[in-house]
Amino acid sequence: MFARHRHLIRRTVAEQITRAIVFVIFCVFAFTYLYLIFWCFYSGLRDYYSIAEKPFGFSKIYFSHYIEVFTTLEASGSSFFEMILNSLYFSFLGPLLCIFITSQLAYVTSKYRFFGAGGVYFIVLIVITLPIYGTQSAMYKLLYSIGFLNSRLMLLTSLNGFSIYYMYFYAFFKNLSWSYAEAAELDGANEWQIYYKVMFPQALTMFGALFLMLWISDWNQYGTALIYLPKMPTLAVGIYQFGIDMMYNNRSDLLYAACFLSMLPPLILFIVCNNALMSNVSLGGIKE
Amino acid sequence: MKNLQTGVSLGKKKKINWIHILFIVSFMIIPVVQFLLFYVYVNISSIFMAFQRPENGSVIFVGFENFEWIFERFINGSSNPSDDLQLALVNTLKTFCVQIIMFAIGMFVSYFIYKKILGYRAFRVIFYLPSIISAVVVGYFYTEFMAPTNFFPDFLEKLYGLDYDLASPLADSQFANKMIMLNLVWLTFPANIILWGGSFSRIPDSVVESARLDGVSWLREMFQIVLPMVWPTFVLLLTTNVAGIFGATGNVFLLTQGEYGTQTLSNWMYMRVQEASNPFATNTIYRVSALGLMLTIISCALALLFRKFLNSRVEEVQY
Repeated sequence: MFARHRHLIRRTVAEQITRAIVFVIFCVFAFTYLYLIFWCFYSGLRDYYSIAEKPFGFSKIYFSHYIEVFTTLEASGSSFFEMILNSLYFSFLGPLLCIFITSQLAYVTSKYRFFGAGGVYFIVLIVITLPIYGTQSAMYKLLYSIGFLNSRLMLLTSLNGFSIYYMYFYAFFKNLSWSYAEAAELDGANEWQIYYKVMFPQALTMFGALFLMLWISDWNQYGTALIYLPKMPTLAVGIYQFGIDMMYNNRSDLLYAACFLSMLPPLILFIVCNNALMSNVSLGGIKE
Repeated sequence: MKNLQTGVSLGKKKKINWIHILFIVSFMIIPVVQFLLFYVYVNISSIFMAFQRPENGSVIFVGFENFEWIFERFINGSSNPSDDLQLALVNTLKTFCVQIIMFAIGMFVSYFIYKKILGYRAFRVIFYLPSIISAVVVGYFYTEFMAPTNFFPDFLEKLYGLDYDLASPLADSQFANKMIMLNLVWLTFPANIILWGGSFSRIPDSVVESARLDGVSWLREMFQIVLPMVWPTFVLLLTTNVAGIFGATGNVFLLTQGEYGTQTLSNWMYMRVQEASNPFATNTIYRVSALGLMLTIISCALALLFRKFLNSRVEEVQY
């Protein structure tokens, strides 16, 4: 009914002016975000003398810098390739395991009634709303004591099921009909088969969207890795450390080429999956 | 475990069997052990650490010594700028105010995208870029923007009528903090775009359109129709912001390392842990725990009071 009256809604002059001003402001911000990406790419092509002279100027370009990054760039004894491997290990495998374990925890606590099932939901609620400060030092002490610092075992800290992502899966599985499981059970499926072959595939879209969000955030994360993995640098940490070393060895051209290359994977994934990411997270987002 | 039941959604009861127990245990054991070790133990350890300090390779209880050290620096500041917690607290509160303003602006940004401003599809995607690009990369870009060879320092010199040559605003005590805030404003302009977008999209079109037919202006529509309908999201996001009051910080670590009067509480805590090499020899990380414990107690109380206040002001709209 209302759709028929849309043509009757006229914007006032004040509203049109407001929208025009907002549009211009949006364009300015959008331009700066896009320019940042272009600048990074272009600076990676320039020579470091011209960058030092005019960081936002134009000069001769060298595509070879993007190859040189792989052979020359080094931080804490790790090559660019090793940094990529570390990033893939901690920032890809970590989120993948985290989301997988979270989905399992949410499934059993939402679909099975047993002592402590409700408690898990309550604990997660407390964990995500309670602001706790200054625990990095206790974490550092623990990881130091058990020998996890600068170790691949740090991946075990990613197996966290008690996070906000639990809420998304909990809401999803809670609303998922149990009749699918019953039908599978009649066909002779056991509990694991019911989960992996019937229930989990239905949560795959949400799984993908949440994994993507966590992966992008972990890929760019430098803070935690700089404390706990300084000698096993991920790309973000390696680039940071190379930037610090650059004070003594000025190769800003390589630094920006590396910056652009590190930006590429999340950018490509976002361009390909932005609709899925935005709509699925919105749909599975905060329930009102 | 006798009252274990399956098929809860249909309310059917089944007899417990060991397969069910094994299944539940297999799905819960890893996250529960991880949680007990890396959350429960770490938090308890953090509380203990607040009352300890290292001595000869082990730790001893020192009562409130760490808290006294912190109070001393809150009240009198410090001659060492990187340990000046008074300045760090002031900067944190300033940053928090900017964050709250940006929270409101972020809501408006999402509102205009929801109202399908010209090019809204492109803006929706582009405005997500600050969440995708590494803070390290953004930090380098911003540092180059502030470089003496760029126009910006000259522009500031003229704007403020400076009688000295401004090398880099990020390395000048008069400007460093302002530049950190500017960076924060730039990056958080489209904050929470996905969450807001999800909430706005749930509002029935008919409600907004009927209001428009009645001649309601966009501002009134925003505050009297849209906002009450997304009130739970508003409360949740604002409470999260308030709860994180002492964690408010810009890109201080990457841009200035807390120098030139830009230190914040969260950056101070981060840098003290980052500098540590041995937790049984470094005293400062125990002070971090003490400060963390104090801030946690205050911010929990603040968040609870704030949420109660907000929920009492507006009645939630059901739709």
